[in-house]
Amino acid sequence: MSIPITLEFSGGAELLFDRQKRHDIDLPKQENPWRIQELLPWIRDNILKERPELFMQGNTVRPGILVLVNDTDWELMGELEYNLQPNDRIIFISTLHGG
Amino acid sequence: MPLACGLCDKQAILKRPKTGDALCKECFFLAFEEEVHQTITDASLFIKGETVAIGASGGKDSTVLAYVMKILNERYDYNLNLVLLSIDEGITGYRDDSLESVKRNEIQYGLPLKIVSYEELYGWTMDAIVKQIGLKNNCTFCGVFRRQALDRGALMLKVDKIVTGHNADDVAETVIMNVLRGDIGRLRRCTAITTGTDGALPRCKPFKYTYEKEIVMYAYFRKLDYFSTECIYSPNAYRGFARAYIKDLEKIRPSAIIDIIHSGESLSVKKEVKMPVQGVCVRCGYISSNTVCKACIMLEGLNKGLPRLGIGKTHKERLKMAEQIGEKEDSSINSQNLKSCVSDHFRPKSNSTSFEKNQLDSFWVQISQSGQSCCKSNTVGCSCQRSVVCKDVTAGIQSSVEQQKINSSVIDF
Amino acid sequence: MCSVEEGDTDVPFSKSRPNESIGRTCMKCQEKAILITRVNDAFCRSCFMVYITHKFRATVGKTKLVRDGEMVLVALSGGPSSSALLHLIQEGLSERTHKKLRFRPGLIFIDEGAAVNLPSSERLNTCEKMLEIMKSTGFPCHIKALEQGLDNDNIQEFSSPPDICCPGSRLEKELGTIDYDTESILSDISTATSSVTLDMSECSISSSIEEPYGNSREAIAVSSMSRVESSFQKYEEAEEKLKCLLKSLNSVSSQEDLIRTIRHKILSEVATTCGYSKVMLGSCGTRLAVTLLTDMAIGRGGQAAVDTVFADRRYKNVMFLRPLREFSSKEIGMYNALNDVESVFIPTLTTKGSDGASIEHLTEAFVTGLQRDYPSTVSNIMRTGEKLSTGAEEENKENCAMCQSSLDTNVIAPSALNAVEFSQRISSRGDNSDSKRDHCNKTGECCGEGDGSCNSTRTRATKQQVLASLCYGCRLAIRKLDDVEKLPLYVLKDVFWRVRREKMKSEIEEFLLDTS
Repeated sequence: MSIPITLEFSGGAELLFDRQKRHDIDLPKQENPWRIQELLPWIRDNILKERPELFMQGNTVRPGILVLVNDTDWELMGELEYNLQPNDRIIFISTLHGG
Repeated sequence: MPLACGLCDKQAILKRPKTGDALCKECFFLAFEEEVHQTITDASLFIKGETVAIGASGGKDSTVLAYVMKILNERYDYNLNLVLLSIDEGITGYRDDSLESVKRNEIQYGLPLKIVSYEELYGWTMDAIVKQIGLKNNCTFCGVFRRQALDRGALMLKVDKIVTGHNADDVAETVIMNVLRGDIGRLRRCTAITTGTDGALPRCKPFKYTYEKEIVMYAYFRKLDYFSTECIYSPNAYRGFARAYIKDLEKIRPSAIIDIIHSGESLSVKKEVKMPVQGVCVRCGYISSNTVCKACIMLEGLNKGLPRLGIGKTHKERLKMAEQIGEKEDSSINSQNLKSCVSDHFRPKSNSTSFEKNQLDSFWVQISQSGQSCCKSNTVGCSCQRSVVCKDVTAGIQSSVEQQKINSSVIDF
Repeated sequence: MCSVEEGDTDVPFSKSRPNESIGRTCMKCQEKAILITRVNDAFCRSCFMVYITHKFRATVGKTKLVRDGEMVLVALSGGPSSSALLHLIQEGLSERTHKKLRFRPGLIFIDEGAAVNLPSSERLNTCEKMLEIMKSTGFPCHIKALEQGLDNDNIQEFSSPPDICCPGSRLEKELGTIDYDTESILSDISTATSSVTLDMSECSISSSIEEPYGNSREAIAVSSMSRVESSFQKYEEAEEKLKCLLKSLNSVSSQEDLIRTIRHKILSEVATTCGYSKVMLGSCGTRLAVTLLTDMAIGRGGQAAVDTVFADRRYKNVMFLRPLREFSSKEIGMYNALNDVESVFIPTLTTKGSDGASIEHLTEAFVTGLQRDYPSTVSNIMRTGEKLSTGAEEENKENCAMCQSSLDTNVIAPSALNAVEFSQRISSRGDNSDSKRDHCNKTGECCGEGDGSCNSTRTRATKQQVLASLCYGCRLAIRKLDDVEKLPLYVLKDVFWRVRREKMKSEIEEFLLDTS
């Protein structure tokens, strides 16, 4: 079944997403469980509007972007390995100067 | 459209990375050499009649350095006695090629060459070290050993100064590294053009304001031959970050390298900050901020099969070890402050030999387990199976190093 | 040759694998942790809040520099750090807190839209948003534009009292009557299309001390409109001047450097004329580490310490404080997320730029990248900065005309500065346009430049004279500048003053006793 997720972007990161800070999305059903590791390329391919290198670096986020999963530091959830649950809220905050 | 040289009217064939000016070949050579000369005279690096050892690695920096030093020596009557000094770390493959290059320099430039090896100084080649401790911390050993090797080799040649080919990029990189690591002591010292004046042989960097790219350009147009490979034991990755940063900075603003050096020179340290006091190693007399210098600790570790001794930041264990080594020293030292050597199998031959700073010979002999004194021969055939001789180094003015050959069966794991 | 040297291999602590940290508990209370910060410490929500507020109060309190009732100007940029600072200050001042802070803050926002070439509608938008935020705090607020820093001949601009102070505010209740003018004026900063005022009618006036302008205070609407319109003309000119200056600098790094200098100048001017003895900046630790490295890279090593230390005493009358210097950007981000702190995103020159867009941008990418794998990077850099001397102890040092830091150009050879100058001298014959301009200065004759400015009776500064009064970093920034007349007025005035003093000194030189 598809997984509904809320994504939020702030600190300047929203500029890459047409200035839209909040995105409610439904991740399509797939065989393997959805982890953040798969979510990132999905974001890049589906809702990112420009400059993918400013959001992602390699297979993870660019340094300087803080990721919160349900108001918790993603480092405490396993970073890329975290399995997404329905109605999770993932926030990407750019802590870089000028976005 | 051909550009004219900025100084003469010939056609320009290159653009100086440092200033962006277009120059022809001869004007570039002149500018390059003049700048080095200016650096040397501004800093009063040399005194007439001195003997100067050029640290020669076979790489571009030292090859160009040797060439330019020779030219300037003649052109401006420095009256220096130049020699080439090269270090053999004992890394098969890597070293052989660069040593060949240095030997060629000896012939091409007509400068005498001395090669000093880790083997003869410490009894260990890098290959052997890596075999023992693996690839993780070998660079630490090499760095420490090389520094001392250069000094000891120079002392053997009785030179007054050492010059190394460190260029502006190296100095800038070191400044950034030291800021990143919070190493305030090194940060203060690294922009000095001459280091080590108190005690050890002074070392100068005539290329301090010379860009690496210009050195390569100079070598290319002068058709100088050099050999440049990466060490086969992978180098420290952390410095690579600083290097990449500097390279990127240079792309944005070419003067950034000199700007960083200027920043380093403009820094001053707060008076209250405790700076490590430079003392002398109790073992070998080499300059050290600790009781026992790093090389001695590392050698102790190697010989005892404790590979991590001396690696990493000072923490309790290492301090304890150092203290123990120091204490062992104390117990074998009589009231006149005599020392014993690395392997703990030595004591001064005569109790009346006191250690004074200017004394060159202290006699060390080897005692076997039974307490009998052994011959002082340096040969492996000695019945006690260890012929380690260590000599005292005075407050850095002169030292002589003897050899340490370890019989592998003695090493306990 | 391998360039590894002794001591090279002391590598900082490197990060643990991600999976090791799953489900960690707070290091203090063993509850479920929500954040990893410092090198490897986990905190739960409440402990984190306590940690942050405590660290803030301690940083401000332990230096004992901020006295009770002291007037402190808080600089807001709209970004997360300064918004967090504002929130912390509000919390700290509120009555319910245990040991509340006791200074009197005023807020200032500097609109830098002109420098970034933002369209005026966006600038206005940003200003409105910032105004909303500032108003809601009840503290007196100022809004300035960056271009006002170019021309502070115009006293009016800088001696304006707080633009807004809301009546019946908490602050008023707590501190009694506010004894500064609260005339509500918003300086207009839009461009040629329209002059815009925001609706300020709800703000009231109370009794005041001296009013620099002499505008009548009764009819707010009228005076504010007329003031707006009269200043409209000046703003347009100033804005053009700023844009022209920035454009002629030719490199983003130089532009950012100049903007930073002007910004500090404006802050110190407003503080001085409005009676604030301190200015609080919202720069967080990560940002300051980037600033330190950037300063090293642009030749400002001598200032690197003073740019990152808690108390910056460069400007004589005003002290700049950086209370957030111990916080990482991650902690700030988390704090804002947990407290719903509003921040306004304002683009800068390097927004959406590649890594190589400017030196500062590159350095930021470098530091944040390194920090990810070596979590002690920022603290190491800050520690280095703390050990450096700020040069404040030396009384007799001259200051740079532009950035007010100590001049570091009086060096003896051998030095990088001399090396650079030497290289430039021997790499080209004679110098180019500078010598022509020099001639302009000497007599009133036309030099044939044809730009019309030579006919003025005021002597023009030569580039040579200007460079002599600047520090290495500022010299670097204006290297490509073609006409020194474009520089801010305060710089030129300082240069003239020095030139006159030199002239005076040379006249009396023979009678001066050598005191060295």
